Amino acid sequence: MSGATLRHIRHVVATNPVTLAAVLLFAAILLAALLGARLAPLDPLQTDVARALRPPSAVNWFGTDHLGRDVFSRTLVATRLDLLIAVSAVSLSFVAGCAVGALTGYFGGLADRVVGRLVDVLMAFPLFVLAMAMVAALGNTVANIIYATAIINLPFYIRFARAEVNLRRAAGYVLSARLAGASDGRILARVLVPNIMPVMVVQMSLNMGWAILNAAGLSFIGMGVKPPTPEWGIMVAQGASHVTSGHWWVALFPGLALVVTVFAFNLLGDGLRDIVDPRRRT
Amino acid sequence: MTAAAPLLRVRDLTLEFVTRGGTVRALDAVGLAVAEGETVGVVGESGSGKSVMALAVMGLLDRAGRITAGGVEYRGRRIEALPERELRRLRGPEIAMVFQNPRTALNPIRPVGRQLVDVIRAHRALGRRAAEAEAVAMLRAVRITDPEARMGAYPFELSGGMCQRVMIALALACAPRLVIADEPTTGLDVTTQAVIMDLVAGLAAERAMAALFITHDLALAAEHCHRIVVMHAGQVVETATPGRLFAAPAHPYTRQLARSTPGEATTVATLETVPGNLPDLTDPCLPACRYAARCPLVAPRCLTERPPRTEPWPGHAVFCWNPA
Amino acid sequence: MTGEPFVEVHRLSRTFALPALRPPGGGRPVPRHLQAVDDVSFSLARGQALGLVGESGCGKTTLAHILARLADPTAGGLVFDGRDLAAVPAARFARDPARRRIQMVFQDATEALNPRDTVLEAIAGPIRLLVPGLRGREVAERAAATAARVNLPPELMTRFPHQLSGGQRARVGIARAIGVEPELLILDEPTSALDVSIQAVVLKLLDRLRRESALTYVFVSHDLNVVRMLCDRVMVMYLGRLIEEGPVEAVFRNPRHPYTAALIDAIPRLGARGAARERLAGEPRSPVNPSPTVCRLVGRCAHEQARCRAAMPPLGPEGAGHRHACFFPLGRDEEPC
Repeated sequence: MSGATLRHIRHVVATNPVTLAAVLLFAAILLAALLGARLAPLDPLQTDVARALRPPSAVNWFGTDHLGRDVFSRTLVATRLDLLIAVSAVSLSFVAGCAVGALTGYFGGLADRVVGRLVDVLMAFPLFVLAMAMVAALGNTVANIIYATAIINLPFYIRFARAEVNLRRAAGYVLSARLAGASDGRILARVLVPNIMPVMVVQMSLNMGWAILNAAGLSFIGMGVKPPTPEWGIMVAQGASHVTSGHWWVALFPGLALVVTVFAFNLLGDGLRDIVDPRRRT
Repeated sequence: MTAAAPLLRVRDLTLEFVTRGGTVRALDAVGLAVAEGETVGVVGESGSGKSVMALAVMGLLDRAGRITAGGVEYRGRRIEALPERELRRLRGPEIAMVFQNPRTALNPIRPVGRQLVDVIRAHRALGRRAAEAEAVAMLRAVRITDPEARMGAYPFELSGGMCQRVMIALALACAPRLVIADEPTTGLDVTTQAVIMDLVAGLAAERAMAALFITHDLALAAEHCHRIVVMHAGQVVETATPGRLFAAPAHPYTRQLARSTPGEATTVATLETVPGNLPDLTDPCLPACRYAARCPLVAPRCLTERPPRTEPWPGHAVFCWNPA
Repeated sequence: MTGEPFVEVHRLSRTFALPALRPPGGGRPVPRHLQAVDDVSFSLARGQALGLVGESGCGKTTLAHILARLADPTAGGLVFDGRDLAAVPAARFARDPARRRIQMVFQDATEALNPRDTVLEAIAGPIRLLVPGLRGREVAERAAATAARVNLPPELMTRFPHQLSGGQRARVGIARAIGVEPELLILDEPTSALDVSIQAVVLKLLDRLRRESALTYVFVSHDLNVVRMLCDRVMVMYLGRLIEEGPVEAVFRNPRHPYTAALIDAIPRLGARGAARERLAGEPRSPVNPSPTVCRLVGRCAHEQARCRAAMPPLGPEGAGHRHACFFPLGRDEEPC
């Protein structure tokens, strides 16, 4: 990363307070993911039935759950797993989707039509049910949750990359690159893919929130991460049964963590576009 | 100009846009007048403020635009002081506008005949049948062949020239006294441009309608206007009849502009260039004459004192300390 | 003209297939094609500047793309310096040795420059790919020298296209094309997006570059005065057909084809208010499935006769310097040259 790029990032963050807020929020989430286990005041797995379902207090900031575990520590520690699933899944579908979409969008022809129909078929499934089926068939390990989430995200990236490349394949600067002696591969790798990055990165950031919800959703219905591992989806699921009896904190705080994380990624999308797109440099 | 009050008078109009990049002083004490039935051409390069002025005349300025001095009078009424309801009553029956890109200015999902009928009925108490008959008559007036059949056509089914004819029909539907045409033929082919300009000039003469014609094309304005106003960077630099303006341009910018437009006898050797660029209108220290930085005849007072209006000839006004 | 022509275009055509349309009364769908370039032949000597004029949709941009080998013709030959390039598909031409020798400048430099490339990158890119055996430093030096030739100040080299003015962008587009020292330069409306004062600067620059490097130009423009000023010869196209061709002064002073005359007449002139002129009536005919036995101007021409609706007038006279495609030409015949 060059000095000019760093200066540009600083400029974008400084001129847009919303981006600044998103970056700070994202940094906090990242910190929680990296250091969560060390920062947690109590052991997230330590049960203590005598202290079950205590409301938030000075000791248990977010209260305790039905097994007396500290909700704050569990919420904090769960960040790493939830983020890991989302980032890996989205990265996988981003890379694969960009490659397939860019190739089919640029060359067209039979491969384009076949891939297009496959994507249509995939999207015709209720995607969450598809993910459930995949995890059920392959076994609910973290790796399988990642693959399932990646696959149900894939059609969006393929379609998006294909449309963006197709739109630009006859652009003046692509013709101009051909005049300069650039081969098809070079045009794709050096001209088209970098030019669709701003929109793709925004898409990825928005998608990240969705992937987190998806992973949490799988765990919520018992098809994802297995208890007692701290994970926001399971925590919300387990807490949900206690909401009616007035123990609202068990589900609320992991739910809030989910909401804040998804929100941070969505806000970050706009800021990222400003950073990735050189036309916004002044 | 006649002794009677003009139809439209722009008086010392000064206008600013507040943007993130600073305050853009878009217009600086711009003055011009259009008499009844007169066609006035406003000529300038991009950034000269010609389109902003047209929007100010129509009361269509963006909220970021702020008039800081002067104003626009239409038949003695101050346009910028009118409430939006009054303005709407002016637009159409009194002042109409023809935009640059007819394809985007027409509603793409409504047949052109319906669009005409809508405009006619919005301003005149006519029944549907009568309005439709009027719409067909308007299409015929702008020389669209087979107007009855074209009533049902969508904009995408018509060529650019045809769309612009429809736009002109829309503008003229309520028999306005003044039509403002902002680059009405930019993007059209030369032969189509010639036909459209003939049409506008013919209709204006036929209906004794005044026109404010905004263009970057000096020669086009010269062919079709009674009078030309030359603008540069938000200032009026010269105004005269076309004959006078090209026989004896008094402002250095007008002279350079004319010599940088290739004509039939221009050679590469005789083609002149206007040195430098348009000044940055966000610069808080703009010279008093905004052409000063590009002017071959620049003097110290050009930077500090606004050049006065002088008349080297009756009806020919120039704003320059060293007019030719 | 003496010796081998530098560029020889022989009966070049380009059609685009359109979806077949079922006739309104029913029946079999009729195949349709758009005839963008129709049977165009001309030759060009080394060092000449050829203007290509006509209105939107006349096929001049398609022809320019074929000449620049960015598009393939559907029929006909294109011989460049003794070698038939029409045989090399455009998709493979990027790696052809002639790629360096034929370059193009695009209409809208804003669109033609990759928004992610700095000025230096934009100019150095073609040099790196097309000039063999240059090292990184040498590429950058040559790019800087090219920028200097088009009067781009060195401090602009690290800027992105959106940070430049229109005139500067146009110069980057030109520098990109001439950096590899081409011999044939196709210019597609290089100044139509610019203000008059900036256009004048760019036109002078283009004229100087041609004289300095003995370049051959094909200059596509809708501005006839610009063509008249910069070019030696001019070709007029109408709906894909070449309808008149000759030395600029001969064509402008003595237009033979009614369309050329109308085109010249439509140019606005300084200080010529209200001059009544001849205008073309109506709209151009459809370029879809055009009839091969009707003059394309039928329906708009004030001079048409029965013969114009029975046969397509050929371009002639054969071998003359000034050729036209009209059965009933205007003006006077010239001395054969």
